[in-house]
Amino acid sequence: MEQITWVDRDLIRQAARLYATTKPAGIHWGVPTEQNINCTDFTRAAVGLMAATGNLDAPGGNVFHQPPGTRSISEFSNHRALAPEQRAKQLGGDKYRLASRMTIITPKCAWDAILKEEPYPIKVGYLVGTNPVVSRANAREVYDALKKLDFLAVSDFFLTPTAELADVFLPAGTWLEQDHVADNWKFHGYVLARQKVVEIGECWQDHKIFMELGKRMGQQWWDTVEDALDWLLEPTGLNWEQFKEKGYLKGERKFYKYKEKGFSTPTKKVEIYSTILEKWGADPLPKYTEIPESPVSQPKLAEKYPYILNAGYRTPTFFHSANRQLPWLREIRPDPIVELHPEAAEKHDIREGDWIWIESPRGRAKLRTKLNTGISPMVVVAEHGWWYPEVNTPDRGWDISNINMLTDNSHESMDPVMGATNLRVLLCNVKRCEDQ
Amino acid sequence: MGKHALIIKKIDCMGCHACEVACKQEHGLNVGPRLIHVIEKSPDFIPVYCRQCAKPPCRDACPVDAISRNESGIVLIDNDLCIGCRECIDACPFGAMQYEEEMEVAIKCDLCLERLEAGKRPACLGVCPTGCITMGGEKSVAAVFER
Repeated sequence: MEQITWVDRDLIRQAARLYATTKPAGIHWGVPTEQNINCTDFTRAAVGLMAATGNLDAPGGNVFHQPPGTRSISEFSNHRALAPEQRAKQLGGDKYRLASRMTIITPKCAWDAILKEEPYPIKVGYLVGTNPVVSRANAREVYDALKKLDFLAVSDFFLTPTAELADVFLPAGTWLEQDHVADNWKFHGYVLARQKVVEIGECWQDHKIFMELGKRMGQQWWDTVEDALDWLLEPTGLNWEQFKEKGYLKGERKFYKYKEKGFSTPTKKVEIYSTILEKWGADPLPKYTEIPESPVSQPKLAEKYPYILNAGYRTPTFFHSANRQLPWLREIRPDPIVELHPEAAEKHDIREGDWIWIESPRGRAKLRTKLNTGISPMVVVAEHGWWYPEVNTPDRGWDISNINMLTDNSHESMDPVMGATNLRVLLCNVKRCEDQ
Repeated sequence: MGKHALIIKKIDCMGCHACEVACKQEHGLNVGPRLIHVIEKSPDFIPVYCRQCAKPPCRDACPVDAISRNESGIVLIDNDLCIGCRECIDACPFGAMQYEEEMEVAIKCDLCLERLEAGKRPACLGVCPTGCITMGGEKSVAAVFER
């Protein structure tokens, strides 16, 4: 483990013992472990640890919260109305089977369908609240795919570079401009009354856009958002008006539910050995798979691209690719940041504040140097999500500082059952920009 | 009433800059002046803010006596008197004095005087997620670090 992670073995032991002997203890995990080839295996290993230490569904541990009894998201969005022959067309469904069970399509399958017309051509797209030309791997391919569509509609708060590619742009209502039972699709054990406080211009909330679109395609939906929310809330005995008064609903708090009904696996047990993965011909036990583009897996490529790029540096100032147009936030962080260890910077004659090119086999991006002694001299950490709202051409500078110009989205680089894209780890080189 | 000033426990600052945005919002400031400001010097975060000095160098440097200290020890600038000469900005050892380009005057942290009078806490303090910003006098400083 020390060899793989470069983390001192004693620190790993210390962490393991701290977790195992602290009662109760919870493991929180986020996207870094999921945005790479080990997504499924890491998550299964973490759940295995929770189970082995008795922290699964224990008070203060990792709890399966019970929803407060509204109708489910699949009922609300009427998933089951999709005909089986239509459902069978889910892109990547036979390859990324775990994703398919969760109705997730890995973006690469959509780009393949548009660009290579495999397994069938996609000609029309509708994107809601997403800016994939900046936020998705191998951005150049994403851009080419969206450009090739016969028709693209985009709904968002602001005119992003993705929205600029659209034939039709629908301004979406923000959270202050919508009524909703929030967030009934998550398993937090609570729902809150998100209440519309303002209506600005022609902005509609997503639910209304989808309902009206569905009706025009001959489907049956509710007349108003309020009608929809009344139906969503019906099993709780409240309608939207009454729910607004109450403000929230809480699910029944109950622990160790598995003691009565087991887990939702074929064996009803915590399956560290997954009988489902076994059936699919995948490795039933979780393991570490070396990142497909690393100094270990590709020593030859690493001669040209000697640094390990972490392409997912987040700052609390922005949210993914959003907020660059807000003056107070942009003042705090005017430029995209890349962190280098001072030793690495010195090797390339780079000083704090210099603009540098970061290059990978797929492309390059220009970011501003911040030196950090807290990272390894072999690692380069780049902020993600950058485009330039102030650039007054339709491309909005989407390809200048966009770290996803460098990332890989080949099928070989993705998690084999979940199709999780590697947005995190790859090889890169750095070079000081001639123009400062 | 003893001296009032912000106390920032630097070790707990995680560089979220929420204090800066809350301050801008409270005082309706333009891009430019930052009455509280966190400098990032990896892996460190350095908050820059007014110490409400007992003998304020900004006050002493002001040629038109626009800067004064009130009974709570809060150092205030009268923007009607300020001539925009920037002497106070050069004099402040902390870099806390700021300049407002549009009005051409110096501005500074007033510890959210209006909020204090209404029994509320300064805006920056109210939004800090790690609770590293507190307020008080010298005795409170000791108390913060004993906790």
